[in-house]
Amino acid sequence: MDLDSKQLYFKEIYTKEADNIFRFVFLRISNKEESVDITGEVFYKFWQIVCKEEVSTPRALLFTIARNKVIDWYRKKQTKSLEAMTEKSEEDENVPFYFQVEDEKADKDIVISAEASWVMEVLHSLPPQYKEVVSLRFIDGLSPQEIGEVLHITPNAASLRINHALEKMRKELGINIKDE
Amino acid sequence: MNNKWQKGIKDLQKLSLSKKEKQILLDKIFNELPKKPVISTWVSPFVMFKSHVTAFVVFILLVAGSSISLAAESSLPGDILYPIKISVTEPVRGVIKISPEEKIEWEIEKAVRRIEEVSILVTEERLDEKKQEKAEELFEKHTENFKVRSEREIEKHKIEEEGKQDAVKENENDKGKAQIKEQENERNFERERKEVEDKVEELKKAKGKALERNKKEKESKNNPSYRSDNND
Repeated sequence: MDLDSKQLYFKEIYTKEADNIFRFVFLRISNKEESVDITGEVFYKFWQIVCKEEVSTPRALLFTIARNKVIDWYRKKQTKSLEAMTEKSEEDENVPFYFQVEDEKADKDIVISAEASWVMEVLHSLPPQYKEVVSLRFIDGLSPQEIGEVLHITPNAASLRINHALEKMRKELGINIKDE
Repeated sequence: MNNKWQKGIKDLQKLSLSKKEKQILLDKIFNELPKKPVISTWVSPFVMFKSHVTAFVVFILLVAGSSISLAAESSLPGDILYPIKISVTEPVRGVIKISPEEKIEWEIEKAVRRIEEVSILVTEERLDEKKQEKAEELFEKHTENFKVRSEREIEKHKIEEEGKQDAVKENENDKGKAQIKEQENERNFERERKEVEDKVEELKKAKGKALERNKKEKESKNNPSYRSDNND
């Protein structure tokens, strides 16, 4: 693939997946501005990889990068708060971000519906490993194969974990959902 | 309950970037990122060889190459590695000698090495006509090189001195002094040339001795009476 067709390929994937990645990040760090930044970073990394090699499962790759970025973000936050505890004078120091999107609408708070926040509550009540597969499966719409790739497990293990989670939800919360 | 779940999921899926945000982000990515794939031009020696096989082969060649040249250094005429010593390791060592003095010394050393080789062959009783011819030929070559190089240097030296003398003449306007100096210099050159010739002579004598010894030993070997005496 030459550079032009790579750019086209990248743009195509970006238009399809940018919202999904943004949502994935936003639901995990609940900060819109930073979510936009991280979305940019994810696609930046993705572009670098596309330039270097052929990508067979772009969606799984994007979610893997996004997941790692979120983990990094939490790590950074943790060290920052530790530093803040020991040195209160440097509390306000901002971590510089690569991307700064200026949009008047960007600052508007995202309001989510009562049902949506209820779903989030349900997810948070689940054990971490179930929370992750359920949100990847139902909110992000990833296939068990893709989930397996993101979480570094086999597709079968991913399916199994989803079924266990659904069973738990049905038994303990009375929510009966089927995985089509 | 299920409907509530479905609606909640749908609402969550509506979360998205605005069109403007998306476009700005895309522009940023394309503007700020290099247009070409980011591949470092610096290649680490550890990752230079992508496959382990090539790395291994290069490693073996390096090890083998260095040990062969080491072994070649101590080889004698008639050995398999001797041509490597003559046509590879010695010229390579010669390249390292930069100053003309060093180069001249290296020529002498090479001539001495030929004599040493011949004397070792003699003591080991392995010298034959062919080897001897080869050693003589190389010895001639080295001494010739030595002569040419040292004469060239002396010539150079002379020209330089003359240049200096001209300057001295102009400055001092003292012809007598210059003449005396010139004579002194000429004498110096004469002495240097003699030293060079003496050295060549010395080397030739050393070689002659080695050959003589060799001849004697050969004769004693070929002497039938000596042999029959021994056999009886």
